[in-house]
Amino acid sequence: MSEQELKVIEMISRMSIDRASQVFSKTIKAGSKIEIVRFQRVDISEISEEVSKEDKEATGAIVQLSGEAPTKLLFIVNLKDALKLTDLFLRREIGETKAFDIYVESTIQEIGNILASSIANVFAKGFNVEMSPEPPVVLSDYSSSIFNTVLMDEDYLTDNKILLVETKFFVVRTAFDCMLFLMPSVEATKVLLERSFANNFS
Amino acid sequence: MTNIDLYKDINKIVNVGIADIKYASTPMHLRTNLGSCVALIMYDKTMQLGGMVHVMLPKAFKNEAKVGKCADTAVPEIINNMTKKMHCKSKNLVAKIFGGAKMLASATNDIGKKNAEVVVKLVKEHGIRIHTIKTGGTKGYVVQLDTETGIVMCRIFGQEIEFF
Repeated sequence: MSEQELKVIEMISRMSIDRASQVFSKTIKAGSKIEIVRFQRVDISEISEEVSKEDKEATGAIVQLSGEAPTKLLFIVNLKDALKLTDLFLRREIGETKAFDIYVESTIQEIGNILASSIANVFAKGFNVEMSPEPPVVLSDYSSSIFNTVLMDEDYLTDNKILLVETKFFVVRTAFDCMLFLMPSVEATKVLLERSFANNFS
Repeated sequence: MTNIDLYKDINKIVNVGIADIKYASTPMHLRTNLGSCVALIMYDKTMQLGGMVHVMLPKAFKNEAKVGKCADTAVPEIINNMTKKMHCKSKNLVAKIFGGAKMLASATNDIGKKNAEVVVKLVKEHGIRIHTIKTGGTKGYVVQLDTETGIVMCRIFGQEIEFF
């Protein structure tokens, strides 16, 4: 992929993440921002090694966006902050949720769904790319084990590298340690480029 | 945040990523985190030397660039390197095998199980003694080899630390 093509995919990713950020803010009724901190083709050995250095107990929602541009989404939050996020999501006092339970799992699943749907909408409206999110799979495990599970797909690798869009969340008055990863498949980058050039996006 | 560092001295730890093969001698520790991948750990007590490979798939596609990625190329590579390049004797080498969980309950293809089966089969074919097989389940593993003792600490998510 050329530098120019990579820039186009980055712009599409930024639009998708901005939309996800707006929807996330509305959902939790609190100002929030999701910022891209890395947009890069990364080697699977290097990225998995890097993630394992900051390993923690976490819960994550993996969503497969199926359709013309298959893309994987991983929303991951450390276990302690998942409880805070559940309180925020359910409009409770922060600290009310004391342990991981069905409400926490449902919250993480729902957030995964909301983020994936908003990104699919950008793909559909902006680029005429038909996408539909599959039901999120929620895992509670080591963050690196969850992350590695998403990497286990040859359709997403070129020369053992994956295109990774890494983000950080900032929520007003509440510190959260959560991240959203977006991983377009090889096919997805091709389709998105075709459609964006067809729409004179670049 | 709950840190899961098994050792405090992070300067001694060499992390092994997916499809990586790494070697270390005392006082270093080799460490990796696994889901459906499998870690094959080889250890020579007399040389206090260890190797670890993080296997992602059972069988390589044509022209696979990373020899550590698939069991059929990774297992011969680590054994040959340790016996031929690092001069370990086969009779002194022991193998310890971890991981291969079924992370996604909905997955029809249990890749973790296949990874573990192929690694075990190939290690046996090379005539290396297998000390430990700790595979399967549905949760991730953290494994860490202490090259001074050859002891592997293993923690499966949500469970107590075990030593092998």
